[in-house]
Amino acid sequence: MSFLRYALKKLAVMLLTLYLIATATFFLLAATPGDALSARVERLPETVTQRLYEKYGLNKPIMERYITTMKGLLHGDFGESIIYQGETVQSIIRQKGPVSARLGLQQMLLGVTIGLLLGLLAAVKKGSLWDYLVVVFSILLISVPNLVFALLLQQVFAGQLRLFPVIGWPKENIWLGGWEYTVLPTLAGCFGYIASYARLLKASMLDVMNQEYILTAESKGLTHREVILHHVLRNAFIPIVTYLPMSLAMCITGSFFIESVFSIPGLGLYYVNAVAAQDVTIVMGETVIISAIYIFVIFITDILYSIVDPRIRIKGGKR
Amino acid sequence: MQATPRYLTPDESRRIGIVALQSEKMQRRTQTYWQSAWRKLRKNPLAMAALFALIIVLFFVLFGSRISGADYLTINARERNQAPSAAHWFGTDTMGRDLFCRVCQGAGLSLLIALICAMIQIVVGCAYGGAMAYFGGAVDSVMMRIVEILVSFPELLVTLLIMMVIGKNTLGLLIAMSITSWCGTARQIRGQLMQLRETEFVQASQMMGASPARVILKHMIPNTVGILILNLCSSIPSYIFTEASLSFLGMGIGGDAISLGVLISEGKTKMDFYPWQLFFPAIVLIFVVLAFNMLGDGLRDALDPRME
Repeated sequence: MSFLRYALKKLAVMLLTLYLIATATFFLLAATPGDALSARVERLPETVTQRLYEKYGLNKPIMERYITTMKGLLHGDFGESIIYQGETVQSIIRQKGPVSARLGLQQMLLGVTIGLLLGLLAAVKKGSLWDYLVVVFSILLISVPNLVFALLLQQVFAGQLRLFPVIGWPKENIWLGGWEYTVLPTLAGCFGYIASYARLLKASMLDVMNQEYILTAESKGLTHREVILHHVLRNAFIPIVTYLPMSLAMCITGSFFIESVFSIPGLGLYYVNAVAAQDVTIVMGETVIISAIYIFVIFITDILYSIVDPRIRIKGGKR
Repeated sequence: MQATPRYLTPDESRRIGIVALQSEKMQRRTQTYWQSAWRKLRKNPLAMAALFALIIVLFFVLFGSRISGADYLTINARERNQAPSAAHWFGTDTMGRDLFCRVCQGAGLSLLIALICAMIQIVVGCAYGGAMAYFGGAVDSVMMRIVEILVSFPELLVTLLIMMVIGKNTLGLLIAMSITSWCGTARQIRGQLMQLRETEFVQASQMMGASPARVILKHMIPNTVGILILNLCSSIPSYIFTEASLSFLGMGIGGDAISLGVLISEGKTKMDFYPWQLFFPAIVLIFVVLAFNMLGDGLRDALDPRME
C-alpha cells in the first residue's frame, strides 16, 4: 500500500532528523568555550570543584557524555538543570509551556483572522482604494519589528495611559484569567500574522482568479459572489493550509522578544537565558522537544497533504 | 497578353512615387525583459520612492558623520542626554556621544551585515540548488534530504547556539545567521530550474539546435535572476530584524561595534526619560526595512512577465 509506505518513509526521516538535531546540539554545546560551572567554581576549593563536576558528569570524556545523553534521551530523561537545582526539562516545560502557548495562540487567532479578512478584501476589490490601503498597511506592519511594536505599546498604553499593566503575566487560571496582562503582548505579536496572511491570501486568490476554470465558471453564468466563494476561495486556501501548521509550530517559541519586553515567564525567554548560562541539559532538552514538535507538525502536514492531493505522494518531495 | 500580378520592384515604385509599405518591419524596437521590467518599475511611484530613500540612507551612512562634523565615539561628559538640537541633530546619548553619527554608523553596520548574509544566502543557495537540478537522480535526493534536515532545525535555536560557540562578534553573527539561511533559496532555484527544463520554449530551443550554453545563458539564467533579486530584497529586512533582535537580547554583536539593534537596546533603558534615544534608531530601522519591502513589492510586479 503506497500510502502506508509513504507515511513510514516520512516517519523514518523524521526520527533520523531528530537524532541528527540532538547530536548537532550536543556537539555545539560541547564546543562552546567554558561551561555552566566555570563561573560558579571560581572561588571554590579544588575538591568541591571536582565533586561538582563529577555530579553533573562534566569531567567525563566527551564521547562518554554523548552516549549517556543519548541514552537518557531515549527514555525521555534529559537530566537536571545545572543552574536551577532540582528543575528538570519536564518540570520547566510544564510550568512555562502553557504561558508561551497561550500567548502564541492568542496572537495567531487574532492575527490570522484579521489577516485573512484583509486579504480577501484586497483580492475581491482588486485595484480599488481598499486594495491599495491593505497593501500599504501590510507593508507597514511587516516593516516594523514586533520588538519595536512591543516597546511602543508598552510605553503608550501601559506607561502613559495606564490602561494595562506594564509587565507581568496572570499567575492563576493560566488559560483564561488575567486578560489585561495579555492584551499588549498579544497585540504586539499579532501584527506579523496580519501582514503575512493578508499578503498570502491576496496573492493566492489572484493566482487562482487567473486560472481558466474561473473563466469557465464565470461564463457558465455564476455570479461573482458564487465564483469567489465556491471556486476561488476553496482553491486559494491550499497555500494557507500549508502555512498554518508551520505558524502553529513556530508560535510556541516565536515570541522571545515580546516575552523579554513584557517579562513574561515563557519558554522562549527561558531558553535564551539557558543558552546564555550554558545550562547544557536544559538547552539540550528544550532544543530536542521544540524541534520534535516542529518536525512532527511538518510530518502531519505532509501526511494530510498526501491525503488531500495524492499527486504529491506519487511524485514525492515538493512541500 | 496578360501580365502576371506581381509586386513592384523598389526601382519601379520609386519611379512612380510610392514608398514601399514596410508592414513586415517592426515599427518599435523590441524590448528586452530587463528593459520592460525597468519601465514597469519606473512607473511604480512607491518603488521609486523606496529606491530614492535607500540612496539617501546610503548617502548618510557613507558621509553622515562628515556632514554633521561629529564623531560617533567621542565622549563628552558635559553634553549628556541632550535633546535634539542644531549641534546634535538626534541629540546625544548617556555618554554625550552624538546620536546622529551613531545612528549613521549603526545603520551602516546593520546594512552591511544584512547585505553580506543575503549574498551568502544567494550564492550558496544558487550553487547548491543548481547542483541538485544539474545532477538529478540519487545525488539530488541525497542533497534534498540534507536540506530537509537542515530546515527542520528551528532557526533561532541554531543562531543562538552558533553564536555561543563562535562568540558574540560580527563574524559569529554572520556565520550564525547564514548557516541554514540558504536552504530556502536552494529549493526555490532547484524547483525553478527543473520547471524551466520542462518548458516548451526550452525544448523548442533545444530542438532548433541551441547549444547547452545558449540554453543556460538565454533561458535558464534570465528566468531565475528575477527570483534571486526578489529573494535578495525580501531577505535583507529579515536579516536586519534578526540582527536587531539578537542585539536587543544581548546575544548580538558585542564590544565597541554598534548596529541599529545595539542602539535600540541602549535606547530602551532610557525610554522613559529620553525617548528620542530609542525613537531615532527605531525610526531609521523601520525606514530602511520599509524601503526594502516597498522596493521588493515593486520588483515582484515588475519582474513577473505575466503582469503585463
